[in-house]
Formats: sequence, structure tokens, C-alpha cells
Amino acid sequence: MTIEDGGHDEVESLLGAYALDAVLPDERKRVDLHLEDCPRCRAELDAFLEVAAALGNSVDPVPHDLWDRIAGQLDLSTPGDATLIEIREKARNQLAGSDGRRSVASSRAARWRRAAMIGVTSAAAVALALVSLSLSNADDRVNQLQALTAARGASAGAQAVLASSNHKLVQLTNSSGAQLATIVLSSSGTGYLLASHLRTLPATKTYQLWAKVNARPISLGLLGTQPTRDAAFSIAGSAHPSSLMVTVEPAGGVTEPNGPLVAVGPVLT
Amino acid sequence: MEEEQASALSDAQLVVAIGRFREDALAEVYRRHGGAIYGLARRVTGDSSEAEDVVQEVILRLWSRPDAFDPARGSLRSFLLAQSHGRAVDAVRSRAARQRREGREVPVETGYDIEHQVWDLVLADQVTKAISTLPEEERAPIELAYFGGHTYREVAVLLSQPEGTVKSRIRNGLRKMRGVLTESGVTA
Repeated sequence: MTIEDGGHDEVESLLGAYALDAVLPDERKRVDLHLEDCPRCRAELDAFLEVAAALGNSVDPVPHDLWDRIAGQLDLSTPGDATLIEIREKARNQLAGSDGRRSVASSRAARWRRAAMIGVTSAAAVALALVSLSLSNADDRVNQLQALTAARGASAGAQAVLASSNHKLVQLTNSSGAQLATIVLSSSGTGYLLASHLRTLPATKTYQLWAKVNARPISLGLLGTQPTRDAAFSIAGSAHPSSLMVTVEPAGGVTEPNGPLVAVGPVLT
Repeated sequence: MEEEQASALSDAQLVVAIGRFREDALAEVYRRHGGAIYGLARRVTGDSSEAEDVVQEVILRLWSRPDAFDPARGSLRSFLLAQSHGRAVDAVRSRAARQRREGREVPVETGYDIEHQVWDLVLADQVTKAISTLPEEERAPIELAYFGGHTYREVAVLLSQPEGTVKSRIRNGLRKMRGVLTESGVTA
């Protein structure tokens, strides 16, 4: 095995240099690909990155006006992209309005805090629980933010769906949790691929997108060998899929999923 | 619920708050870690203005992609320093490429006096201890790559060693440092 075909040993030998940003761009890409499927190498790399960070951990006083310059760019990071700014404003207003989930989470959090007061559980466990509660509470916010980022340069159709009130975002991940694609789905059933990190397939294969409806897979169409953003599809608005998934199938596609499942994501209601 | 003061939040909670568009959370991340991001970028680029650009890029990226930080994979400080290092190295390499294109002389490494700089740079006793436990042949390539912004292939040329040897010495050195740092509680 060699680095060209993603050989584990070769990639492993590069992990130290990779953690120090001392590999060539071509090697970096190959290591990145390998890391998607190799938890052992990922764990070793994470350990090396901690060491590298410890090496570089010295604090210098920063120039006084640097934060002002950064803050001034927060809403100007996409100059001229009026649609994106508009969508972001809309999301911000929605957040300001808040919803019921936050108050539910906060009362649960308050219960956790009371539990801590009477010493039922350790302070560390409570801290973890609070973090995980707020993480799940913020999932949709984070998803929105991801979608806004992905929307940069997206087609008018995709942006229109993103701006609609009842759209759903579906994050498709592989078995190790790496996010491989983001899809936005309108309430009427129109969908767009907003972002894809799916690898290019040989010409004899294709990615095929499926919706799971009442536990049965329904084909939504072929995404080709290299799925591009804005790929559009539609599903009956009344179908209410529970999840979307992507499989690898022979070019031309199949009527029932047969090939390896590469990414799946729940359609949250 | 009243929003908690950003200064009272943990790093992981700050990142969640950034996902909710809270600029005060981003400001707090900058307050806690901006100096470290800047310090490393300045050390690698040797240029204050390039280092400021690196800080801006790293902080703005956290604002637009807070989901890129995975608390399960390490601390926020480590994540931000890795980003800072990557961008600083990019800046150094594109500067060198520009100078080559323009036919200018690329400054040659004068041996490496980095050893002394490392001692100034690294504040934590444990980290200096971890580096000092390494034999010279492992310490040198790590310092040249990390602080000098060199690829392992360039390090091999600088040290007149085979590339494979440099790769494995970097890896072995990092492993040993990891062991020492874990023992002293610096890394988990």
C-alpha cells in the first residue's frame, strides 16, 4: 500500500508532520481523506494537535484596535451579498423571538441546578449536562448558521427555500459523524443540495439520494459522480420523510438501495 | 431566561452562543484566546501585521463556522492555535513563493537559533520540560517545522537527513512530548 491508494501505514507516518502543518498540500488532502474513515489515525492526530498547541501556547499583547476591526467585519464579511445579509437578519429576528424549547431547556437546567445544590450529583456532571442541554437547544441555530454559510452563492431557488418559513435543514453524516452533505427541504417538497463533501466516484458509479417514508426508501434521484451544490429534487409535500440518505450505486441508478450507505440524516419535525 | 454573561460561560458554551449570533460571546473568545492566537502567528510569521490578519481570519471563521469546533476532539484553545498555525504557515509560504517569483533572495535559515526562542516562547514549565526530554535529533525537526514553517521535506534538506527519518523523528518526538505532558496534566 502507498499513500496514493490511501495506505494506512503511509498516512500514519505523516501524522506528526501533518499536525505541525509540515506536509505538502497534496499529502494533506490524502491524509484528510484517510482520516474520514480511520478513527485510530484521527485519535493519534488529535493527540499530536494538543501537543502542538501546547508548544505554541504563549500569549502576546494584541494591538488595541484589532477587536474593533474584527467586530466591524462581522456583518460585512459578504459585501454585496444582500440576500445572505437579509437571510441572516431574518434568522437573527427569529432568534430574538425565541421559542418554547428554550424555556423547557431552562427549567430542566434549573432542576439540574437544584439537584446539584442538594448534592445529588457532582458539579462536573451538572456542568456537562448543562452544556449538552444548551448544545441540543442550539442545534437548529447552528444548523441555520451552517445553511447561511452554505447559501453563499447558492441558486435563487435554494435561497428562496432557505428564506421560507417552514423549510427544514437535513445534515447528512457518515458513520463516524463527519458531515458530508447539507440539504434544504421546503414544506412543499422541493429540495436543494446546499453543500457536499462527497468524494468523486469513478464513472461507473453514481450517488443516489433516497428519502425514507414509512420505513421504505423512495428514490429522489441520481446525484452523479460528483454531487454539486444546487442539485434539485422534489418529493410529495405530504410524504413526510423521516430521513434522507445517500448510497453509491452503479451508474444509471437502481430502484431499491443496494450499494453502500455513505451518508444519512434525520428530517427533524 | 436571561442570557448569562459571556464571561460566565465555558469555552464550549461560548461556541454554542456564537451559533446563536451572540457577538459578546465572540468577543469573550477573543478576550480569552486572542493573545495566544496572535502570539503564535507572530512567532511563525515574524511580522505583526501578518499576525493581525491571521487573528482576524481565525476569529471570523469561528463566527461563520462555529460547528467546525468539536469539543470532543480537544480544547478551544488548541483548536484556535491549530488554525492560527495553519494560516501563519500559509502566509510564510506564500511570501516565500512571491519572493521567488520576483527573483528576490529568500532569506536563508541561519542555522536555527529557534532553540533559544522556544525557551522564551513557551511559558509553561511542563512544556519546556517536555521539549527538553527530547533528544536533539527529534527536537530540531519539530522546532524547524513548527516555528520555522518548513515542510518535513525542507527540514530534511536543512538537516541533511532522509525524509523518512525526519517524518518518523517528528512523530516519535511528538509522542514522547505527549507522554510527558499527559503525566504532568497539561494534556488529557
